[in-house]
Amino acid sequence: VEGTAATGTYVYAIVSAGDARNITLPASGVKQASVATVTAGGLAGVVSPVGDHRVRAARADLTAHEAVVEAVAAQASVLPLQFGVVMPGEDALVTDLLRDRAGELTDLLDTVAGKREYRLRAAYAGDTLLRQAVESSPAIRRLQEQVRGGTAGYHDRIRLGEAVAAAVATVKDGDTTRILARLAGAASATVVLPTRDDDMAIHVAALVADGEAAAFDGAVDALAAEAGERLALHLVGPLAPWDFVTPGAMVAGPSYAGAR
Amino acid sequence: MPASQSAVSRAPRPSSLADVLDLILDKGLVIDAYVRVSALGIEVLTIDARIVVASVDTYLHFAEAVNRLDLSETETKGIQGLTEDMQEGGARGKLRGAIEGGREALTGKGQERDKQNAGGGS
Repeated sequence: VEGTAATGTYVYAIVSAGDARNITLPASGVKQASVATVTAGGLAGVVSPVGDHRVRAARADLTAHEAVVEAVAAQASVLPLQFGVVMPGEDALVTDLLRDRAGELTDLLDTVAGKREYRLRAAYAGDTLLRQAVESSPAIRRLQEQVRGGTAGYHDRIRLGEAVAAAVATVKDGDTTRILARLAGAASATVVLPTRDDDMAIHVAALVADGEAAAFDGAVDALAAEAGERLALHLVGPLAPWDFVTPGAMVAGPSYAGAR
Repeated sequence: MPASQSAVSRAPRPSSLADVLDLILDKGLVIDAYVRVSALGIEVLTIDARIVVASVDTYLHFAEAVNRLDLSETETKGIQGLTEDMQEGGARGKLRGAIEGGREALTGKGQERDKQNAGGGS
């Protein structure tokens, strides 16, 4: 592919045409290419010319994608694209995305207009979660005795771990419900983000209208006060609405055969 | 330290590459009709950044962690050995998971990309 016509258009995000006229774009993006907007109708793509189609997932390009999206999100409502979307030229962007998908994209942009995402991570302090899980179940304590007494084999260790994992999930679920209830008042939408089974933390994302940002912040502070030393809260944002732009319609697009 | 634990730590942007990847690879608008990024390079990077642990590894980890809860001073050797074993096992799990994750994240539309490459190849 190296050496084919230099027409690749890397797409970072979609904004409204009106916002595209007013935002200040970063000087460079992936592959250190310049960043520009391409407008068609009421929408615009934030793009970089990248020559051929091969954008390597190098660290610099990954962080460039995020940096460009967030720089735009700080100034305008934005639909962030997943890393790695390269279209075969600006014409294809205009025709196949900005025009053909105008309805869907405009609706989606409306749902996140004037809103930013916050990600809240609540990490259980020290052994808090494990202790609570163990205390919740006599069966776990029994297995624990066996394992500690040296009479238990490999499968008993697995059984113990399984039981603890289930108890941990139950405790996490309860806290997740409480956290979401607290945030619901100030957020337009919330979503629970996946964590690893052995991750001693809860991770949620909230979509918050600019006008509610202070209230949301207050809700997080209230949560922290409630949780005391049990949970350490880490709040990241405001971010582009990464977790709130994945409708089924866009995922199941027609395959792109026109590039040849 | 205890006094600061009830405060919220705040950051405007994700601080680690792993958190950035979580946003830009797993989230954001997916337009799968178009050319996706080459998978070359991402796997090496994700081995550091993304961790997927097989469930058995997780269970053993839990068992060990719970076991350690009440152990005050005895049996340091045994526990240490177990921990080392698990770190090895965990690393293998990570590697495997990362490669699978990377493949999934970046070549989900591999057929499209291949078509593209085949068509544009000179």
